[in-house]
Amino acid sequence: MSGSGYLLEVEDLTVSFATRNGTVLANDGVSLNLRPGETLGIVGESGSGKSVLCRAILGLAKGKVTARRIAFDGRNIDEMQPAERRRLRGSGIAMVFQSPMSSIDPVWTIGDQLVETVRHHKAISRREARVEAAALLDRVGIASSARRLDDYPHQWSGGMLQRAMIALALAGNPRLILADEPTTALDVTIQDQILALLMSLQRESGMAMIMVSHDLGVIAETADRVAVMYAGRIVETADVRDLFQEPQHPYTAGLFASIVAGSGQDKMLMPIPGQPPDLHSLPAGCAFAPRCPRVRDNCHRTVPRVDTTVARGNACLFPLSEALAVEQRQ
Amino acid sequence: MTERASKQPLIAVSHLTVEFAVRSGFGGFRGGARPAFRAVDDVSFFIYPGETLGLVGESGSGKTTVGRALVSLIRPTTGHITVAGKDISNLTRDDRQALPRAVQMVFQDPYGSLNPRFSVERTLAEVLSFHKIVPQVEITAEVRRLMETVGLPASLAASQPRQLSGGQRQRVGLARALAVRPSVLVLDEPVAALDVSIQAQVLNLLRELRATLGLTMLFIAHELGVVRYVSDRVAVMYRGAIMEIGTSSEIFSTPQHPYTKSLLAAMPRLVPEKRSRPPVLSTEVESGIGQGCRFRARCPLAAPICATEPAVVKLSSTHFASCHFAA
Repeated sequence: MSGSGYLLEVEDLTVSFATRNGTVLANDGVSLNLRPGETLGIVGESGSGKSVLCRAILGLAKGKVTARRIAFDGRNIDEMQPAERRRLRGSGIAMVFQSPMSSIDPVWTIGDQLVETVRHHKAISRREARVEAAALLDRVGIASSARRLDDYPHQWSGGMLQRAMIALALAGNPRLILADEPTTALDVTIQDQILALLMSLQRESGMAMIMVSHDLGVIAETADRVAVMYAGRIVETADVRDLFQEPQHPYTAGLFASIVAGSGQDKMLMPIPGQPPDLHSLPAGCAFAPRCPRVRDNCHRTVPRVDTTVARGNACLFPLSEALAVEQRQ
Repeated sequence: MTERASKQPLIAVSHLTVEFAVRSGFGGFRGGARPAFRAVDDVSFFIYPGETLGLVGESGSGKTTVGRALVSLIRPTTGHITVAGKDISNLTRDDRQALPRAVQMVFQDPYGSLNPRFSVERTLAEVLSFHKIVPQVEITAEVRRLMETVGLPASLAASQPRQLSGGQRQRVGLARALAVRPSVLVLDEPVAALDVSIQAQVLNLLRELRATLGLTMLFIAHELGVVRYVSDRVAVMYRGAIMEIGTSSEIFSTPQHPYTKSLLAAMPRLVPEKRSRPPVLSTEVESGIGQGCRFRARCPLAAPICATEPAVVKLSSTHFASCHFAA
């Protein structure tokens, strides 16, 4: 363990893509920390950069990645040899993707894919790996696992395939799982099963997790801390309870006002006006300014940044809590 | 399933069954009886004028098939659908061409259902002139009026679908459906592909249109919160059949069917608390429908009696559930 006590440290990560219409910053100065065993929820809408962030951490992002530092367990990933970096994937950090149907090879049996992955992490025989593969399927709740190893992916439902994906991720005993919208493609009752599975695996193994979701309900049930992303930047970070009780960034507050809570019809939804930003032509200053109800002149001049060294931070010149404090003082 | 003596229903679906032929690999070459998959199995409901009925269910529940049958994109295998008293289930081709004006459909993916080469203006003008909704000279004005109705700025008239955001495209889809001045809208997952902040815009627009235009709607969605927000009544489907139907408050506050209860319990709550509870249902949907209640393999209340098909139990004048234990 490093001196900082963090399992994962990301400082000032920028991912850019060159497109026909110019350079696009999919991640712009993203910083975050994660302690062992902790779950960080990342919330954001499409194009906010949350998936790119996960891929960049794994070293799989397609664009140009720069960062002051990305460190896993105190070791700077940039300074690792390629072989060490490959080992990190899977046995240090593993990823669960949104769509199991497109991440699992349709022409191989489930068992083949698990055996290959197990043997990638451990020098053992095919036969031994098969036993371990069945044990992994047991762990993720697939009944009569030994028999089902010979099934092809098309014979499994979406929920079962997502379990298989989780089994693949567990094969290397990772200390951090990046779960990118792991339940978005699933039905409500199956989502419920997968979330219960992920949480119980985490309790058993003590692994840390980054849970990426657009669904604040999923975040509420899984995260210890939350980072809210907008237009490639983190705009707010907080303990999950603080965030839900008192969002500080106007975008976070807008998200909460846009979703149908349990109260249903009684509460009128208050949508965020306007459209999500086009990364090709971001406004100067705060990217949320054109849609923000609290916008003032200064917002168009500088890009506010979150201070991620503090427990609670927001990238807003006029955050909500401050206004509240001022009102209360008066 | 509902009775309301005072008003005539605008839409009446009775004993609707839709079967699809299953092509089973090489078996198709060998001839013999093709097995049929019953996507919708004896579904009946009414929708009253000005009312919004929400249709909820997981994938494979048959909710989209019901919607498609309502706009005559699918012909019922058996059963009847009447719109304003007219039976539309066995229309001739010519009859059907006259029909689409009454019932219009809005699809989930506006990108896939809009012509990528047509501007917003052309998309709408095409519909107006094909159905001769307004005289040629008034088409431009009518396009502007439609765009305004759905909250699209006139400056986007020349834009093509790829230049629009998801929310804007869904507004175009809505404007196109409204162009023929329908009395009924069938909306199939209209906000599922949209970001949360845009979802809310479209949902509010739908509520507004319902109030101003007096539209009758069948709102199909898998997300319960969204359905509750726009629906007067809600029907819950499971594997081709309606399990429970009732007013929004009956379904969401006093659900009686174990499947409805499971769906509601499985929904993530907005309460920040790390979950430690076991899943609501431990099993997945199994293949093949046997005898009796179709939910019994997953049902927490399942008992021997469930091997017989449950009757529809009347719980109030608006609330019905298809379960042996509903009371």
